[in-house]
Amino acid sequence: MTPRSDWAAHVERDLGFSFHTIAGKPYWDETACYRFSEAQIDALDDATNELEQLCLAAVERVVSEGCYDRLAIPEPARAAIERSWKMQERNIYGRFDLRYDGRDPPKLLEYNADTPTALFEAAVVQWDWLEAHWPERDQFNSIHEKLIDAWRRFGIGRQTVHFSAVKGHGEDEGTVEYLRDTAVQAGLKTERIAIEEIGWDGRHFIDLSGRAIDVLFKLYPWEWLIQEEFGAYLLSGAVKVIEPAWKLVLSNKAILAILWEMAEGHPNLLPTAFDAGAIAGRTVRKPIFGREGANVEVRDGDTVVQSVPGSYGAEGFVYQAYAGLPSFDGNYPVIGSWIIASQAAGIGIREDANEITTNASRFVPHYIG
Amino acid sequence: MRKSQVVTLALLGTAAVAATVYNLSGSDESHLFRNPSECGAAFSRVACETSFADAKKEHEQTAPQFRRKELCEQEFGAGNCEQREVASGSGVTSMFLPLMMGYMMGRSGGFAPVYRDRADNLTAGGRNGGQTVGRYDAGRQTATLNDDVRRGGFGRSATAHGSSGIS
Repeated sequence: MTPRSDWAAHVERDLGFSFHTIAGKPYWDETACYRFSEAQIDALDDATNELEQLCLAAVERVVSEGCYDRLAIPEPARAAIERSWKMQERNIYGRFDLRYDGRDPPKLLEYNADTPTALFEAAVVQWDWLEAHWPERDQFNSIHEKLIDAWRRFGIGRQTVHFSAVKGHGEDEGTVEYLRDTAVQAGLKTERIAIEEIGWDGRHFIDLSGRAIDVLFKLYPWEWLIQEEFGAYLLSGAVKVIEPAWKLVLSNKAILAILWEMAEGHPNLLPTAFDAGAIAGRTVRKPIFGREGANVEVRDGDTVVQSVPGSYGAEGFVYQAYAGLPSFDGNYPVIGSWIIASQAAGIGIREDANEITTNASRFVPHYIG
Repeated sequence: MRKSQVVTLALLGTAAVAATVYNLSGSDESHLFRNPSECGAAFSRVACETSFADAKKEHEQTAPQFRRKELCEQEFGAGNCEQREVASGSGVTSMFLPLMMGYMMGRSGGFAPVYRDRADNLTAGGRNGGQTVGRYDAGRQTATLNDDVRRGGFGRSATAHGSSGIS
């Protein structure tokens, strides 16, 4: 497809989309798009809701059995996980990464339950692209509406939500600013603060105006927060955190092996185990705590076929049966299927010239028709 | 339909930067912020924090000092003054200073602390101050930082893993 002639200026000026190009390479890519049938979208919608229910059942199992060692979840975090789960603390969002070729059932590659990104691109930029080209057509994307609705029902009331990301990282800051935008539209009071700027006065987390932080939305992994200097204060319950602490169970690749144990043979799951020898044939080794494809290896027996370097893996790995991604014109798409307040809400597609999706992949829009 | 009916943005896009522009010293286009976080919507974090620190230092060195609270409040309004220990000859003495309500930041690196007077005007302080730069808005907070607060207890892991993003 021919991109809109002024697309870059338009998305920057009218949508505030500042990270459409990352490290000099296009990230938002409208030179192509994907077309789905209604039946294919039904399959993705159903698989996403089904996977969410399986995941919630898996958290229930981990909490009731107390089998945190299997997930390498450190001791001090366990009480916080149990508290947040038993109090039924609400969650805003998550992104299932699915392998889908349009024919066979969608398969879960992994679940970004705690700090998913590529949200703004899916919810807003992709929607705006469709309106520009074919306003009469449909798209699997009510993410924006569902986010505003989720904030309304969150039960925050008159408390201020502080939205936080790492300083100077445009993509993360953009994602958080978008989430703050939806919270404002839901009538919530909001502030921004960088993760590094959060203060501690001995009793409360403190913002830059010297006020106590009541509710903290953090686009920063739980497993990092709890290892850091202020981590113990966070676990003590000094502040309400979004996503809630129980997401530590799901943001962890070990959950893929636990899901397979609980629902072996499920059409939306790939065989996954803690033991390399338990999965026949070609496997993908994934670090239990890993991000952006780092330290992922494709293996055939003991032979490494393909790998991405990185700094993860100290906590161990899981082994998932290899399911080659479909290829369209030499590109490998992964479907990011969004769950907002535990409801399937739409998809965003990231394409890579490589089979392991990394943070250098491109976002490509879609429509139904 | 499976798409959102309407997608509108409240903060992003053209409305994202709502900083008010003031003229501090002729050619130097200046902005008024209550804290570095608010400033961060318009300028880089480093620039915001540097200006804030400079303005705070300027405030500490040049803020008007009063021996009695009432005298300070006569000029700056009730509740807008704080007691500080300041150097005086051979020792320290207790004085009353106006609270710094925010700061000005210029595109070419200028900075100044900002005070609120008893008529709710905002005035630039510091060595070249004195001008009225805006009106106090009760919805906004002061810019005082609590010195007992420790910061920087989060964020280390992002540095350790590189800043390639988190998901």
